[in-house]
Amino acid sequence: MITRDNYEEFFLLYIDNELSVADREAVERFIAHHPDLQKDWKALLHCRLLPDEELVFPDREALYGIGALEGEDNNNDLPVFSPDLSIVFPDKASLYKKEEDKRIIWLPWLRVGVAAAMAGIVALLVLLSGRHTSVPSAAQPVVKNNKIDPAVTPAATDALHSIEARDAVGTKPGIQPKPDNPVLSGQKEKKKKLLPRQDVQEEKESVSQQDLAQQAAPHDPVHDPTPVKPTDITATRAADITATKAIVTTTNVHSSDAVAVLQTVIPREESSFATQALQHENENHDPENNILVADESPAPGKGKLRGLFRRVTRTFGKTADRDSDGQREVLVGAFQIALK
Amino acid sequence: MAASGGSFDEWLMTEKEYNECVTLYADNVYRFILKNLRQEEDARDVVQSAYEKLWKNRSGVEAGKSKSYLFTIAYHQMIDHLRKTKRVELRAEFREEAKISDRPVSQLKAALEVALARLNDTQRSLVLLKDYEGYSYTEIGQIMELTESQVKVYLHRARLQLKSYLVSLENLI
Repeated sequence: MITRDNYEEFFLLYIDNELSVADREAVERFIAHHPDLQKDWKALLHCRLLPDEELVFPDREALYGIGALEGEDNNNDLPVFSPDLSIVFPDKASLYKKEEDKRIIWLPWLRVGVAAAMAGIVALLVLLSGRHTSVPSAAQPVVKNNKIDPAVTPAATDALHSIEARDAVGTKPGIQPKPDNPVLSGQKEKKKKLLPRQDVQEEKESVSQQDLAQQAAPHDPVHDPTPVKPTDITATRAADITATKAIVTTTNVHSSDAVAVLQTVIPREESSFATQALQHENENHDPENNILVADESPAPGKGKLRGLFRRVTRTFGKTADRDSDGQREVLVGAFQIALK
Repeated sequence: MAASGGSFDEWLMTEKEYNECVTLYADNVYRFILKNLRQEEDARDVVQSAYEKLWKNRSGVEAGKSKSYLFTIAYHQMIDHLRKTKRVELRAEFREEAKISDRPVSQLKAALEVALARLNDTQRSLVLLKDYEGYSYTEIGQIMELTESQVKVYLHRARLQLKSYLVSLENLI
């Protein structure tokens, strides 16, 4: 039923010729009864396009030619455009080569990957083995120095003898001198250079070679199998303190030389705080003593590894195997893992 | 290969049928494409390629549906052409506006041409297929791959847009 509310759709359907005959008549009656809608109606009628008969396809013969080229014989399902077999790809060999290139591209990557993995493994093994053998390698130069100049031992340790012989009261008399003390012998050559001959002569008067050996032997941390008793350590510390005093008093002129001697003779573990301070100061200021310091210091790889192992041990030692409300769990760092 | 409703030979378009298709519909297709593209050369190329495709696929064309098949091919060829070239919209305004002053006698027709040019491609094709060829909503939907309701809605919008333009033009005049 056409009304004033839906008349527009009916008008449009009428123009599109989509209405039945009955509906078309209904629309015409509705327009006759509503003259105020005549304007809209006429406007829509003008919107219909009429085909422009003047427009014709200019090249119709060409269209006919499409069928004529193929011919009436092509009623069977023959292809319209038969392939021109004379046209061939000129560089077909290059196509085959590309396929081979693809294979070659993949293989080198595989090889490179395997080579990189092998190189990484070898580098890791070398690194790890280097760290494990760092202790002996660090001790090697010391032993070498000992072997090189055994004859220098008395002369190089003259200053030390003069200092420590005076206060060598607590030294155990039974302790035998260690001829291949690495720390001591490794620094002999150095001391020979550092100490003036005149001072050495003066010190020689007050000390003997045996005293030196007796004093130096307990300080050997590596080669001395004899355990040091607490009384011996106390005595040695007393001797160290006295030796430090002697350094301060007697090395006004040649202070650096005396400190160098002190570093070589007194191990850090057994020296007093004042002695360690002097050693530390000397380490910072005297570049020539770097060799001696390097001999005493532990291998860097060893220290780092030890620190790493300690951290890991502490972490797991503190946190592993915790029980929380009857539930077993492991706390690793910040991660809490429940155990079944 | 037999198909439902007839054998393969019954479906195969012969050269005679094809040439009849050229005689009967070539102008219609050309008008339809030319009104959309507004470029004679492009329209001619599109029509020619549409007929080539018809000839290639003649084995799948039913005898009574060659026209609608031809318009479907032509329409899609035209859409492809419009996507490739994007130059129709720029030209349309100036050319059609000029036609109004060139043809004072048929002012209404010229105004309608301008209004048609202002429609989008889909609306224009709908109007042309409806008015020029008299296709039903269903047939237009098959050609343009739209539903019948879409054809109806889009076409009615296009009509109202044309009417609005003509009314505004009358008011100006």
